[in-house]
Amino acid sequence: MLSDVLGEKLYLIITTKFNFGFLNELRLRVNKPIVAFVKGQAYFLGNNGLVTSEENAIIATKQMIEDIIFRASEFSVYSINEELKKGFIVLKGGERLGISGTLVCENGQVKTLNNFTSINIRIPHEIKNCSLDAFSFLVDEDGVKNTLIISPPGAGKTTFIRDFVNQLSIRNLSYNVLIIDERGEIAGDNCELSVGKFADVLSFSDKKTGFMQGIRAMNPHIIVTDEIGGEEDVKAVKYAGNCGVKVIATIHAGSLEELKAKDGFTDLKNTFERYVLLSKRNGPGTIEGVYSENFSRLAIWR
Amino acid sequence: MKFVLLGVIVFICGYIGYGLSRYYFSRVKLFMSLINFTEKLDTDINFGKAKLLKIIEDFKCESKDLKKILNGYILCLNEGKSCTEDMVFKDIKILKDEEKNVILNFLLELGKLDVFNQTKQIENSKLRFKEILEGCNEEKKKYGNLYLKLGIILGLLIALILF
Repeated sequence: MLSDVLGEKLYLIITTKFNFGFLNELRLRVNKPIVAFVKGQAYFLGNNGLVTSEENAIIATKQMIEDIIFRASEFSVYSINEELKKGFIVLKGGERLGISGTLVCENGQVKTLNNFTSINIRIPHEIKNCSLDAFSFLVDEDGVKNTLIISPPGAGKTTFIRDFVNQLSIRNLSYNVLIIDERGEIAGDNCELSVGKFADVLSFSDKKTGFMQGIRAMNPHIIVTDEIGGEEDVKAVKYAGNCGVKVIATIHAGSLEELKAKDGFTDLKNTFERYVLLSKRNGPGTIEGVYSENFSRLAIWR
Repeated sequence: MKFVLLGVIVFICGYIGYGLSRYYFSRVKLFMSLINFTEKLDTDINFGKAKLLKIIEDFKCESKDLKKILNGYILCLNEGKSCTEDMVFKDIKILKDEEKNVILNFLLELGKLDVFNQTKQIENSKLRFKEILEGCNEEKKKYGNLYLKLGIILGLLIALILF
């Protein structure tokens, strides 16, 4: 839990000095002011809450960063080497702690990460009904459409897909949903976040393995996954399509143009039937538009 | 009645002597337990990657003093405070300042390193504890039984004078 990890002082500031519900991210860098992203907007963190001037900001120290990682590892940094190699730890509340420092490599293999210099704590929020406006475009009498959620980082892609899965459950649409949760962000480390009653979660698996194993083992109707990117991810999505499994996925892109310019997207173009574009315009999770397979606009919110 | 009273005097003096000797026995016990603890840490970290609190919880500690030290250390961790001598060695009277320093430094580094460096740190601390244990054993040989014997002799002497 964040309260056990951050230390009393920081935790008190973020929970009492401003609305914690709007906090998306905390960034601590050695000897630099702590930055808090609130409703997608960056502020410095001061003793009295959010500040805009650097002089009033709390300066993160190396000790502070090391202590947070020490506590996040349950006082056992040696036990989280696999997580350190990947560069992040997922806390019990589903918060993701990204870590930067010195990467120790041997024979081209990452051995560990040490000499920590920065941490980035992403706080998941369940925004109830945030996918509701787009829902009717993504589900019809034929079932759920293959959908790609597009947004820049921190604009609510994960929150959207989590709520979407939950909405299926609320409506008793009993599709077997398999969540391939590569970083434990969709459902949380121990499925603490609401993903409804028809979802199975395969955590901390890469997409290639997750899709293959998940389809074989769980026979899902829909696979939900976050942040597709590389060649292997594209192959995994296409594999699901060949198996008749619908895919709801997210991808980093600020606009449809940026999406179309991405490497590998041409391979996926015929896979998705719907595109949902999100932005931070009115805070993370703002739906900008829903588009069909040929990118014609089905709905727009401006 | 007189003999009973004399017996009590011998017993009391012997008990005082035993109390003084116990200091040396407790020190040996503490460092032996500490070495066992480092061995458990080494195994559990390398083979099971067990969490530190679980390792401490599962450790069968034979020294009451080490138990107190570990409890103080766990309290510091759980309260999110940095461990100080006062917190960790509260009520511990059998350690010298330098020994307290060695143990505190050992505890302060626990759980903060990767497996390779943590194992090295534990190994180095174990060697240091072994050195201290050797000294404690010598002290125990020299003085351990001395106070007990002196206590009994003193008791007998008083009994003799009173008799």
